[in-house]
Amino acid sequence: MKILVVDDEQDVKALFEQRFRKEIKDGRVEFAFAYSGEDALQLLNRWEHEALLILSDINMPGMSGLQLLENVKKRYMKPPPVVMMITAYGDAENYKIAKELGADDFLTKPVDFVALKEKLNLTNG
Amino acid sequence: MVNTYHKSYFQALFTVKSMTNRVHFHFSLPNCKSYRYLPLLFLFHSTFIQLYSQNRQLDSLSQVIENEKVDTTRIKLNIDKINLLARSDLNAAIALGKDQLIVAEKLNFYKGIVKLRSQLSNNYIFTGNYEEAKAHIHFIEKFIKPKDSIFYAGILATYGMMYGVMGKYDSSIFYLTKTIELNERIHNDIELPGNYTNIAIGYMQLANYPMALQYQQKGLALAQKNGNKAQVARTMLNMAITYQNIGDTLKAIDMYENSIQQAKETNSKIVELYGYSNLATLYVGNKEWGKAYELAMKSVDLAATSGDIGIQAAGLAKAGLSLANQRKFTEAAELSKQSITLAESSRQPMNIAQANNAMATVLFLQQKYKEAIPYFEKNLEILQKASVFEQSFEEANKFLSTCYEKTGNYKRALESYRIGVSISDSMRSIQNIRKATEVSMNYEFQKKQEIQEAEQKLQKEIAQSRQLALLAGLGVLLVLAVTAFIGYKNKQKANVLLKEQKDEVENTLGKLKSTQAQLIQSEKMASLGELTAGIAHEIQNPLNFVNNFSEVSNDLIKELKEEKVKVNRDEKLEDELIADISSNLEKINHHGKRADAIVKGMLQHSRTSSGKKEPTDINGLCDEYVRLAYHGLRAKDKSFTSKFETNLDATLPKVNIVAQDMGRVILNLINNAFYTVNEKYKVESQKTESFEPTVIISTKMTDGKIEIRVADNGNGIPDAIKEKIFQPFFTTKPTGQGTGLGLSLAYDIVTKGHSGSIKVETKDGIGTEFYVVLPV
Repeated sequence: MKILVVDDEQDVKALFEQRFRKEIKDGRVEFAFAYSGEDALQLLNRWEHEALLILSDINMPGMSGLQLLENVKKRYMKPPPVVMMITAYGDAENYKIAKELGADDFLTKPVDFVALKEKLNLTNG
Repeated sequence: MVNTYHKSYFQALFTVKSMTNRVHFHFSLPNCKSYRYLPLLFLFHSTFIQLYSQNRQLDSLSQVIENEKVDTTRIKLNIDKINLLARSDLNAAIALGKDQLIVAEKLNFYKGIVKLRSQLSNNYIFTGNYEEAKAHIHFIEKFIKPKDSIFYAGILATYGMMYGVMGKYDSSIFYLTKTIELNERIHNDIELPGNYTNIAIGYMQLANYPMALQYQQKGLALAQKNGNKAQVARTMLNMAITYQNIGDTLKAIDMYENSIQQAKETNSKIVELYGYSNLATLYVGNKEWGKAYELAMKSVDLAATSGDIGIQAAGLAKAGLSLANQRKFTEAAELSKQSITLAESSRQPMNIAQANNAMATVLFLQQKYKEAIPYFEKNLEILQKASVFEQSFEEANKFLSTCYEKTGNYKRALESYRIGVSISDSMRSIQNIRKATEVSMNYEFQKKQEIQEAEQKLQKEIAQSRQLALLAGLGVLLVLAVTAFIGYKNKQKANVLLKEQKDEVENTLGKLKSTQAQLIQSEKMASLGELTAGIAHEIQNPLNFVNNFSEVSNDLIKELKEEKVKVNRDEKLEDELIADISSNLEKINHHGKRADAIVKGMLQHSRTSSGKKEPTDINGLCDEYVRLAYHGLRAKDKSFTSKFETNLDATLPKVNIVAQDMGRVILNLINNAFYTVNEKYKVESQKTESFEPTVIISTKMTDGKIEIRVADNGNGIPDAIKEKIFQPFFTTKPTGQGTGLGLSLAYDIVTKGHSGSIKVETKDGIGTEFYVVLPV
């Protein structure tokens, strides 16, 4: 499974790579990182036909996570990839908008990686 | 002798009106305040042609005197000569008078002694030697024979004039009332118009306009009856001043125009000149700039030909002011400049004040606030020295307050504003008193008319009955007493009203101050509100890392422990795990500190500035606040979008600044930048997709100074409002969204708090760049 993580924080790469250390080693999951919505779209254009899961933060400079979501769901990919949005705790407004735009699932910050792994069916791995 | 004194007295009044709408008393010499006109001006007012013919008269008179054998006739001729001399050389006139008096007393020549002493007292008054003047009058009073009532009236009139010149108006009125009684009894119609005019001046100075007007009307009627047009012109001019004083501008204008007409016909240049000058002042007061300019220029031309620099300068100032108000600034500035030069050479402070005020107004109307300040200050300094606290003083203070406000000097702005308010307060008191005066005036006129009618009836019925005339006189006195009482009551009422108004103004001022403080606090809270949302988001990011890196490190340690007990230990893996743990600990530390800084920043922002300057990393400050601003706006407005770039000069040294203050400046600039790009984006995104909202924050070192630049590609600032953006309470945001204090506080913090500068470069529709330059 290929997962694209979109966040403007550089340290997410180290975090995900350590959190999914075993899964990456076993080849069960492959990660790519984009540090802005624009970067993410470029990568997606290149990988148009690969099935993947997108994990995106919402608040980013430039294109926001919600805009990226809208782009992904409405314009670019067919069938559209699964998009999981990372929202700030208690941010009901963003949650609602993301839902309307077709977000498949949600995570809240700070990210609970145990829960994330369950969602990705990687817990037993 | 008797013929000349009243002329001098009231022509002196004419010099009065060139400065403001008030009557200034020029003929008071030593007691008078310095700004008033040269009191001897009236002595030189006759035209050169007249002087020339006078010289010829003097020469031929001297010849006749030389050939005259009879002593008393020679004295009489010398009396004529003194009259002529007094017009050009007072000291010579006095010397000759003293000389002739010795001769006359030796001869015991009664008429000669009386006339010579009257002349001497009169001439002494004009040189300011009141003691000598008084001595001669006293002497005549005892010396004069009862049958010479005309002479006696003349002496009383001289007393009246003398006290008027000394500024003792009550005494002046007392003596002139006696004079008038006497002259009316003997129907001395030649002297009466002069008496009326002079007593009216006294009443005018005591702000008793009804009485002034009443005497002026009598004088006018008599002058018209005598067919003396020059006198008519002068009386009308004085009446116009009275009307102007009681606020009846229509009548004043009418009178001035009539006076000017009559003055032209009789070639009375001075009356014509003062007519133009006063009328111009009146139109300036009425803000009828076209007419004001026209008349001011007429007064300038005429003043130039007659060499009256003071009035010329005043006229130029009024013309400049009028043009400035018609937005003809180049010409206006030129005229005002000329006015200042002339006024300074005239050395008359009030003229200098007026000229400076004109220049200040010219600059003010062009919004050249900084340049206008010194001119306003100069004007106010002179007015204050001269204790002229009238409308012009109030206005100048209010303008000055605006100047200071626009240039960011709020303390001075408030000071000037307060002075202006207190003056308008006392102005109102003048208006109230005027109102009271008008009321009593109407009453009095009515009563006067009734009494006059009654008097006429009585005179018809019982012709020339002295007793009844006396009765009527008593009646007049009674009415005067009643009127005075009513006037007094009205003034009292006005005073009570005044006190209330004053309290009200003070109260308002107090409220204003506390409102100002509240607004500054609310600006802080407003930007704090924007921050809080940003902080909530921002703090979650570092916390996310702190939590997860610590958890994952725990996992890594578990793995490491497991590896250690294995028989075939993978040392490479162990090294990897240790390196990861170590780097994770660093990351935890980093993000922990980041969260700490965010919380501290928020607390600092909400707290009042300590005002303490500390070495601060400006780059860190910029980086921190751009993120806070960005996320704050993001949280508030979901549709908000913008790119931001930071371009920070890593070689920047730490600078001594008040960090929370400067942070507020940066936050404000960034907030504004994000706001404008977003506004533009809302419009542009409907049309094309090519617009990419972008905000760039950069820092650099140039010439030993640190420059912080906040650039956006938003809508730019239109020229029309560019000047206003640093003004307090100026905002382009919809009501309720901006306090209008952000940039004005930023301006204060940078310029006053840090001796730096803040400037803006903007192109309409293209973008804006703010530069903050700080000394290291």
